[in-house]
Amino acid sequence: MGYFLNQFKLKNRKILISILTLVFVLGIAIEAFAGKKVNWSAINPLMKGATSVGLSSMEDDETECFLCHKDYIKSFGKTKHAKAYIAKHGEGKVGSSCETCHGPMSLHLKEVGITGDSIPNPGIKIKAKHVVSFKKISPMAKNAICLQCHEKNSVLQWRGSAHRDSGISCDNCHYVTQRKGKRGLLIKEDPKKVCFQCHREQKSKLLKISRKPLREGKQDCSSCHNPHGSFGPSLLKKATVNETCYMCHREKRGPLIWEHAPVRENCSNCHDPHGSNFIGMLKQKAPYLCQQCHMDVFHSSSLYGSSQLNSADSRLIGKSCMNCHSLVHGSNHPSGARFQR
Amino acid sequence: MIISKIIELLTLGWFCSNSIRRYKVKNAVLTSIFFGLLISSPLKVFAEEAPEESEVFEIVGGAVVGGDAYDEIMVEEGFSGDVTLGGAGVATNRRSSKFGEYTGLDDDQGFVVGSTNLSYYRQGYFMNLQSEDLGLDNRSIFLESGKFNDYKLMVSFSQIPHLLWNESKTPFDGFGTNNLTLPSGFTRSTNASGITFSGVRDADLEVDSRDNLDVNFLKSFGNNEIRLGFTRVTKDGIRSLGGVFGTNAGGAKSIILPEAFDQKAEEGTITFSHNGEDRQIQLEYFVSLLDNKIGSVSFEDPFQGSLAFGAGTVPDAGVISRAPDNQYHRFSLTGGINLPKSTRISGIMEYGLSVQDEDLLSFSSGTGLGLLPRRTADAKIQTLHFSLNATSNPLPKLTTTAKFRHYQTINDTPKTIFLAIINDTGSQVDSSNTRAIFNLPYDYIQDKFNFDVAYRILPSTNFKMGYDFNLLKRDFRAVESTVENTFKATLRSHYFSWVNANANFSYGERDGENYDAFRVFETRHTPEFVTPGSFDAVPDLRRYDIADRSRLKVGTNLHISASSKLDFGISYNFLEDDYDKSVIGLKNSQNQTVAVDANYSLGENGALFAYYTYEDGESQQIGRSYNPFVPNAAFSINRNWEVLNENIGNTVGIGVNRSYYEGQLTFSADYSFSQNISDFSFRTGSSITASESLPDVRSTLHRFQLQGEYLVTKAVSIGMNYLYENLSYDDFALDGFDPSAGSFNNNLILLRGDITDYGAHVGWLYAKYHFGT
Repeated sequence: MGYFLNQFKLKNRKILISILTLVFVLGIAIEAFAGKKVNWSAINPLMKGATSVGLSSMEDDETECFLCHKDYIKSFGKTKHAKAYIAKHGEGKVGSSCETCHGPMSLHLKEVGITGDSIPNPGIKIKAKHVVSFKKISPMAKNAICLQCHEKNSVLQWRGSAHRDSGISCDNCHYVTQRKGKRGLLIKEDPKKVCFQCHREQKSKLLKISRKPLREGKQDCSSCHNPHGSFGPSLLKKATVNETCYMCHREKRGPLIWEHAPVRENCSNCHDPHGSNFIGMLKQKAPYLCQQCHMDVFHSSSLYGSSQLNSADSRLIGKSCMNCHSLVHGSNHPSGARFQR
Repeated sequence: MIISKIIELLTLGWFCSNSIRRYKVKNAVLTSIFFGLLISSPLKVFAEEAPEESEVFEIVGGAVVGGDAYDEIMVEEGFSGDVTLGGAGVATNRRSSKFGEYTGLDDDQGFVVGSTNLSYYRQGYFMNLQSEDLGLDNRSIFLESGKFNDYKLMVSFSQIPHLLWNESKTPFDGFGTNNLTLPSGFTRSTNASGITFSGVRDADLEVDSRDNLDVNFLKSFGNNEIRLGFTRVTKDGIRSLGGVFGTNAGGAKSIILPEAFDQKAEEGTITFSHNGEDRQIQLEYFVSLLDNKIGSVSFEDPFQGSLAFGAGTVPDAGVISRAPDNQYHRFSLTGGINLPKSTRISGIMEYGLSVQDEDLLSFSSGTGLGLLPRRTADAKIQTLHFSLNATSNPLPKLTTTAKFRHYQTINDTPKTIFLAIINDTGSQVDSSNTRAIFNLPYDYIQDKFNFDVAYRILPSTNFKMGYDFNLLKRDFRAVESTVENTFKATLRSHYFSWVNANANFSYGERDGENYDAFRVFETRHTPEFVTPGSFDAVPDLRRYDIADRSRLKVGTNLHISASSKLDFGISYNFLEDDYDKSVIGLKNSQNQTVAVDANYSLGENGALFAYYTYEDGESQQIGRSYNPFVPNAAFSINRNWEVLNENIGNTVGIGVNRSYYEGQLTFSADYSFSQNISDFSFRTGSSITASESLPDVRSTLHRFQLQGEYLVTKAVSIGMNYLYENLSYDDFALDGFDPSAGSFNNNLILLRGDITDYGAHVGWLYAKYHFGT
């Protein structure tokens, strides 16, 4: 740690100290106000006064729910969600978790006719009002319920994230009471299809000539993006585009003697990571891509058109500029100033 | 309890002692207080041994209802999932790396079908074994085991082949090594046309990546967690790399090399998390060490004689550097806290350090290390990232979000002058030469602020407005800082339960300080070389990543549940970047997409689906051809030329999935068609020879897949899959330039030609055993 701190120049230490001070002051200021739970009566005003019937009677509460919701609970019992829940909250049956997501049940039991040793008539149908149903509540309310347990690790930034601000709720992507996918309780077996529900335009990128291995299932959208929110741009997992790319392309991170400025700053200056009609997932075909920035004397300022193709000009065919300037990501060779060595 | 106390003391002591050693005392005190407070909060919980069964609600009692149905609703124990085993075969009309790009299936062959999706659970303990494509080169295996809410161990193995090119040809011996030599008897020539290619050999290009070992262990202590991770990744194979001779003037000659690639990376992570109900803190250290076994590639020269423009003699061999070993460290501290009014404040502080200190190669293969300005790279970049986000609902219908982000690189690589050896064979230049160049340690700083306000104007209908401020400061660029102001508005509605719609608009303007076209040139070269009025790039050029720009984004997304069976969605997105102040460079780019999809439910028996995507991208860029032999050419608009590029994409898909006999027989079929056409046309000034359009870059893909599965018994099913793919790709820069066909250019010897079009059939037959049925 000391080694790393020693790397800072004085001005950077000042920046760090300022940031630490800001966080410290904020931390003190907000400490006094912290702490909230789900406000069930705000989600459903008819639940005002409802109390929990659950965890104090672990042997019984699930039976109450089971009387009417048998198939639903049985299906839920197969999920990792149910198993994790009872491991956390104690031995018992699946139904002990119902109140966590559907709110305190005392008024609901009353409205369906379960009081004391009385049970409802078989086959009774009732329009329940004193319970939280995910079919009727707002996305914000749904999310608040899930965040009771899940506001941690990769879901730490959900509030304030682009998806949350877009009115997305957890159940748009996850289905908690039945196992449909292999991981993450996703609503689709193929994780990509979850994202394609809204990001329709990305589906066609899978079929481009130059692409990542998403079709084969070796990557999916969450390989680079954190759909639950992040501190990076475009919900990227890391702080910058480049830091995200370096998760796999470690050899590109350098640092190097001869850096290529736009490369150091942002890989997506030149590449379209979702797929392209040009080899190398380039946004534009070389040499035209390079000529958007390089217009030096002689060959880099020349037009490469049909006559150059007819003469098989070495700046146009094959790897184009990279036939010679092959180290466009940077070079560590003392003669590499022009990325040729 | 004891362990937690020890960790608390060690952590605090660690920060304090290091701070005091490295910082001034007052900074150390501040740092210690900050980290102490931040860490002591979760550690307090840690130390108090948080109860295993924390209650979510306050319990006031419960009804007592008898029943003997408990057993039926117990969480399922034992094994569940399935194991699949079978065989498959591939038939292609032509071997193609593009078909097997990420599977390794590039030719006619058979393979084993194997996968598992197996889970085991008993009394809180669990195990999951998931594996895919066990018989292929893209296999993956993931095993996790542990006890819920206690600990978890995850081990995985995964590999990804990446077939890059088949039908490549090279004259080199030493294929797969870092020393490429020409075979005895190879006839060197002044021009490629004089070289005999009869002795060329096949050189398929492929790089395989393997996550040999990925282990993660997670242990929970109440609301606290410790996660340890280790990953070892190897990548090896052969890629293509341009090997050039004549690195000074315009008469360069190049041969594309089959470059050996062999890397190993080892990474470790340690994370401590406190996940309280209202506040969370995560402290993480990550280290990544890259070991590149191929530090350089040496290659003999198939050319001989003199270079054009009096640039000297072609050398006998060249040495090109490859990515050096490097290491990366990152510390991060992330936290979030919930406050009243649905307020949440979260933030991150990250410090990263990239280090690379490889021994430098000599300027050329024939010169000694004594000519170098220093012996090692001594390259170092620090990164500092700080973000703070706050979101709140000050009023029931009002949501506000504010974000601040600071990111900067601190490039500590020394700026040194490198006096090159021209063309590998000449003498070292002096400081007044164009090849006496300083390496520039680029840096940038980003400060970004964002503020959004959303108001619920109708039930389930929000209107949001926002503002982004983005300041970027850069060293060693033509513009020292740019500021981008962006205004955004979004209308989103789910007012009617059957419609979910949104429309968004944003407009931003990026303005830079004065664009100084000479700044980099003057910094990169010595004062002895730089003469008044001299430059390298055309002064009217504006590099698009730092040029003034206006950006317009419009998008809309509509999802309609037309009936209980029919769902329909449409998206439209438009993005335009306008660089209207740029005279030379990228002037304008536009992209728009329309995507439509529909899904018709067949009840529990299946569904029909279809989708269509239209993409249209256009760009306009202007260049200016100049050389010193034409007076004032760099300032003559008659020497301008323009590239107009249009990319049109059409993608269609249609499919059905059905089940029969209460799910005993399932069946699905889908067909996709994708065509992408890139067109290049030109306009030229009066002093430039007019050019016709180039042939289109065109890709066409048909993909048809059939799947069927029949449940023979409760536990066993059999299935079949069939896939047909047909690809054609035309690229004017590749087609017809097959190296085996000989030379077509005097200065270039290629390694490969066109991408191999293909038609391929794959059939699978398998049996699946279901557990827990």
